[in-house]
Amino acid sequence: MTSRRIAVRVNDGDEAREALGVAIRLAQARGTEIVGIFVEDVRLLRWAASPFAREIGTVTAQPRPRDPAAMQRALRLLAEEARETFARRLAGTSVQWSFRVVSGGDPEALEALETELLFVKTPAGWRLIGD
Amino acid sequence: MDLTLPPAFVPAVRALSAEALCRRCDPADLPFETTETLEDLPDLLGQARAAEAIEFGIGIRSEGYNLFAMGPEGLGRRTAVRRYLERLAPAQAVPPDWCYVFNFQTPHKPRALRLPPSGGARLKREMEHLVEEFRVSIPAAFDTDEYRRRRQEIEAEVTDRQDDAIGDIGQRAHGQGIALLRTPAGFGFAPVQGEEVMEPEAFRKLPAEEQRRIESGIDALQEELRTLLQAVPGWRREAQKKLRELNREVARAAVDSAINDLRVAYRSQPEVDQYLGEVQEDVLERTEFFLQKESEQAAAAFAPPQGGGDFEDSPLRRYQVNVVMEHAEEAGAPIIYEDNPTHGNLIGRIEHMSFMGTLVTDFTLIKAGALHRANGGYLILDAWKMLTEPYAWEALKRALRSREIRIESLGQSLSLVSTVSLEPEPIPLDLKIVLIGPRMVYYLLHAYDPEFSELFKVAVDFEEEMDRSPESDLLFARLVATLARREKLAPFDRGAVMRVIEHWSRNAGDADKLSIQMRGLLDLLREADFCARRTARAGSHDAPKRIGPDDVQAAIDAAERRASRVREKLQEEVERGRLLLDTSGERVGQVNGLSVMQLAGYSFGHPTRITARVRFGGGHLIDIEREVALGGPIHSKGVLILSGYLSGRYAPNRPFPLSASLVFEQSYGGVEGDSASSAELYALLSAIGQVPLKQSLAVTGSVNQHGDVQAIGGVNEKIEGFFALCKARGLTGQQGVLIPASNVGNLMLKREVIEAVSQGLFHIYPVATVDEGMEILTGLPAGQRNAAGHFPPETINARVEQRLVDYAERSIALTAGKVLKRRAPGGPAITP
Repeated sequence: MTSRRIAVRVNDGDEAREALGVAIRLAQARGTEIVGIFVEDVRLLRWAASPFAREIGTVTAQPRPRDPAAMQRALRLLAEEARETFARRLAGTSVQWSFRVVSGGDPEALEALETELLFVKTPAGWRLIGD
Repeated sequence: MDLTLPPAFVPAVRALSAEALCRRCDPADLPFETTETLEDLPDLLGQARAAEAIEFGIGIRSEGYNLFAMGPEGLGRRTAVRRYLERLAPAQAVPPDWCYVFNFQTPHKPRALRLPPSGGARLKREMEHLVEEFRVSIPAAFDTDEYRRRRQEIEAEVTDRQDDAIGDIGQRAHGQGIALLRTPAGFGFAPVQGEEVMEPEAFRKLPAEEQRRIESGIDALQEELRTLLQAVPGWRREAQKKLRELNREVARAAVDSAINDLRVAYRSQPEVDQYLGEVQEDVLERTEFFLQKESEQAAAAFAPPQGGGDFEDSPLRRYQVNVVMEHAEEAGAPIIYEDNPTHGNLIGRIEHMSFMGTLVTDFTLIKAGALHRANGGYLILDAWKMLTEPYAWEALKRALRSREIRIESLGQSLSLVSTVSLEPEPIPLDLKIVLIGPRMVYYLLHAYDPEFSELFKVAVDFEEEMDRSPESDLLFARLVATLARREKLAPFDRGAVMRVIEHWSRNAGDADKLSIQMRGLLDLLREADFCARRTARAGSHDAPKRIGPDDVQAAIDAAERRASRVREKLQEEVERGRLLLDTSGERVGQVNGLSVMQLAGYSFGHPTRITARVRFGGGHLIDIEREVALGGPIHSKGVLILSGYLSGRYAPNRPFPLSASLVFEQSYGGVEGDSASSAELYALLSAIGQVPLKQSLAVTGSVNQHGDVQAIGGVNEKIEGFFALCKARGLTGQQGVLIPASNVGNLMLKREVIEAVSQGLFHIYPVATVDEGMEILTGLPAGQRNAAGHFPPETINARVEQRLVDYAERSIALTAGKVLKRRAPGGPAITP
């Protein structure tokens, strides 16, 4: 099963950065392709459509109303940023890679992940699920 | 019947013998073969007064005792002063070094540091090493586990605090059935249904009371979160402060260990120690720079500052040391001659450099001036150059008055520029200035600049000549020896030295004096050496073993030949008859006067025809030169003295109804001086008495109202000028020159004149009075008043007085006729 691709979540955060580093080394060792997965949080889209959709800025600390379209845009931008970071990290390696945005509420997309080794952190450390 | 002719009149004044025309050197006074055997002359020759003044001026340390060495060019003033200082300076203390360093309190006012000799370069080196040490030791101190852990702790503290607070709000929200969501740019709250965010439709289906509860809960949570997020920057600031303190603590350990040894070494110099202390504190404030990557540091480290004193872009330039004055490997006090004393060259300047299209500067671009270099020693300046450089004189006086060197640009000192610039801390000034200039400059400054006499109290007045004696001739020979050796010339033999002395005595214009004009003397010696070498080459010798009198004479002749174009042209004009001058025969009211022309340092005499015409008139003596503004004031004075002489000497109790005119014929330039006044008087007396004057003679000398003939200048050149003309036309044995008897001591005539005199072909008559002169010029006795108050008949004076008496009687008769005519109108008029 070594030909299966390694999928790794690339949302922003220290954990994701760490996961990517380990996954790259793993993919190099196995000679497999690596897939960057950006998971769109469907809860945010749902929240943006609700009457309570007021976002309190981290820096400004002021509430401002949000709507689904704006939230969609914001998530798309986050995904693009994540893709660029992912591409930069892999640019200097020989590992083949691809990138995919997965919606947390999209059953088909989640299903597709089943064909890949999912690289996640468990209480016992980093694990390849499905290996 | 007595058939014997009356004996010819012989004037009382006898012509001078050839021996009186030049004072020769006595070979016995010069006991040497060549100058090779003579010792060098250690001191100034003939400058005892100047040497004493220099010694006094240099010795006295009180304020304002600066020196002004005055005298004409070429006396060797600069060399003399320098030589004296060079003897004195090595025994004096080497002055301190001066550095400019960054002023950490007021960046636009660089600080001056005083260091012992060669200490400036040492401090500069040590500071460079120190900065290098900082660049290594500071990053090393930060690249330790201790630092990393403590930094992480500080960073984690604020993150944890924030996360905990937000997590707490999330927990409480969860208890109210509300979820805290992390959005792309912040946070949001939403009611939950089960584990998922409640759909809007589901929320709308909730009972109204439940909706209100949720809404008010969300509002309260939002407010709480808002308050929390507002507090976060404050927490971060606290963390930053802790981080800075940590950085400072870590950096201090590195900086202190690097700088402490240096501070101990400079403990005895509080100013330097204080500066190092400030460096220490400043480095602690700027540790970020030392932690940059090396490539980033290199780009910015030594770039010039941008803008007025902003050193943000050049963090390491501020730790440089600008050694403006260094005295490494010097012995004694400095002696500086500033050849180009401009304002900037004198007090120093602040230079600028082009950076990013603008001109910028900092303390490293401060440059020392002559005052800095000479501080603690001596500065020699040329007064004339100094005064012609804009504002240099004022800057020098300001520095001397305030006893400090304040570097400021002309724009600043004149308040023309208001842009931010540097104001370097003034450096204390302690030096002697020696100004070298002409006497005129000294006297003008003394008269018109009130500060001058306060700042330059010692006048060093250089002599132009010295007394001639056997001893001084020998000293002069030693001077020739000294100069010949110094200039690597061949030695001069005794004859050559004698010729030099005689020529230099002539240059002094006095047989009893010797000129001590060094530059001209040196030129003569070099030129004589050149002539000797040329002769040696022509004779296929390698080099002359010695320089002889012929070489010296050849050099003198060549110099005269080079300068004599104008003299020859003038004589040519006379010989071709275009300038009218007689050298034989007699004529009434006409005499040969003599004048001297000076062109670029070359003087020569030239005869001029002076004529006088008289008639019965109103008592006016017309000086035509004066009437047409070609006569100078001294010349006019001489002519007016003639009126005084005539009216006082002849027919003193009668009116003086003489009209006379005097002119320098064919003179088209200005006439100045009174040396022709005796000639004018002779022409006038000849015209009045109708006594012809010998044209074979020429005359020089001024007269006073009593008829005494007084000394004049340039007597040698004047005699030689007339001699040259007579020689060109052929010497007759009748020709000669009348000179004032008081000028006999000035005679140092050329050999050809002396030879002509010794052969009886030319004569020099020393006359003391106008009467003596008239007797020689006319061959008639002048005549003295007898007991009855009359001049003897057939004397010159009798003829002159008779003519004036005739004029006076005609005047009286004319006046009487006018009176009669007024009394008897219509009656016959009486005519003279």
